[in-house]
Amino acid sequence: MKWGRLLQVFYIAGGLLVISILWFTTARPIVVLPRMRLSPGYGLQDASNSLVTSDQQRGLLTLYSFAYTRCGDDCRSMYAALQEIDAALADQPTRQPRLQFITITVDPARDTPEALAAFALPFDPKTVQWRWLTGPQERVNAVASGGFEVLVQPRQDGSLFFTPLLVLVDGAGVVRASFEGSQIDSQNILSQLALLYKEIERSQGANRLAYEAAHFFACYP
Amino acid sequence: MNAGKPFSIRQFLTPHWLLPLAGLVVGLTAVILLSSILRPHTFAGTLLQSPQSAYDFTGRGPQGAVYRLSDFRGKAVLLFFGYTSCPDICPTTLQTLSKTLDRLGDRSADVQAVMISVDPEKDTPQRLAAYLNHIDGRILGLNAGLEETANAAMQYGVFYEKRYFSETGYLVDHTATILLIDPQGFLRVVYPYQTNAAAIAADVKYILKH
Repeated sequence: MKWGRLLQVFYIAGGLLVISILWFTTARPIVVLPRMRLSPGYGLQDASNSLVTSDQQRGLLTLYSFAYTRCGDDCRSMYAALQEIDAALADQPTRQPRLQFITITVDPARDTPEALAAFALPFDPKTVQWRWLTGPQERVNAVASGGFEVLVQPRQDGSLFFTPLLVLVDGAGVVRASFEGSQIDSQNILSQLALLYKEIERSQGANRLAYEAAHFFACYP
Repeated sequence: MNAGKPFSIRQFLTPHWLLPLAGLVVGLTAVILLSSILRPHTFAGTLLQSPQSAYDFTGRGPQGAVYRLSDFRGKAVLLFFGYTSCPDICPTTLQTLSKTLDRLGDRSADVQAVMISVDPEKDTPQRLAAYLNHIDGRILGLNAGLEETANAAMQYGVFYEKRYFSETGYLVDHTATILLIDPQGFLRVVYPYQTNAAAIAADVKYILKH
């Protein structure tokens, strides 16, 4: 009889715990972006011919994109999305860490540091720092194609065919979201960015455990 | 009030009192135990959830023997990129790896610590072996050659570049992260420079257990 009561209490306690875990995984009170993979390590040149490395981006949020200075229609929608993101972030100037845009050229033979310096950005960013990076062909190919998995192929008219891709990397150098083709939509990207900011702001102290639980139980959007 | 009824221990400890109290204690203990079992481990580094296997690098170890990452399937791998002439960061990080293995005790047999040289032109397999034996013979030094080193470093988020301070003298600037690859070959945790050995050892134990 005594043991029966004890077992009853044990079952109730265990049941409550299982119910709370089920609630956490189904109601998902915390949603996080997955930590997908490591962003590739690199050392490339910017328009002022200074070395820019993956290590220097630690602690910042970076939205990587891939384009080339001669790119016309193929890049227009991507530039529009970047401009909308920049404009939206102008309303949130205090958010830390700040977001930056890094565009890696897929045409390093033509897009030398000098060419990048002479290139007028497709729009004038209000809040986000935007840098273009280039380097030796082999190194750029390794980073863009080998690291970020961007497919680049020359067309007969001299233009380049490539996969439009934006990659959101956090301050630890981890890819948290990638947007390809039709997913390159400023509202979609901003909503995922908001999730990342929320995690950065809230996953401190005891809350960190809840956020780690959200990663553990794959509470993804 | 109860003048005619002296206090009795036996009366106090009637099943009427004892059972709910004991039940509460057992219940709370059960919740605490279950919570600690089911609670996700908090990693000292950044936990990754990549569905892709870690890059399967190849390199030459002592006596020129060829090693691949996949050779260590079934063991956890602690990976670091460094070089033998490295003045400060590498000795510190290698000491951390050594202390991590010490802290793992018997479980260190299930772990392989590897350093891939970011100076493959100078760091021959023999030079690497001599250098690492001096620090901890359990750490395997690999020379992956120029191309494979560049590939592996990029895939593991590691930047490195030679910086000359004289015509022939140079240092190699490089990322100093430690990477933990699980026994199934997935990159699981990335540790920033100066993460302490005890924390890494705790993570390795967790990874080996789960």
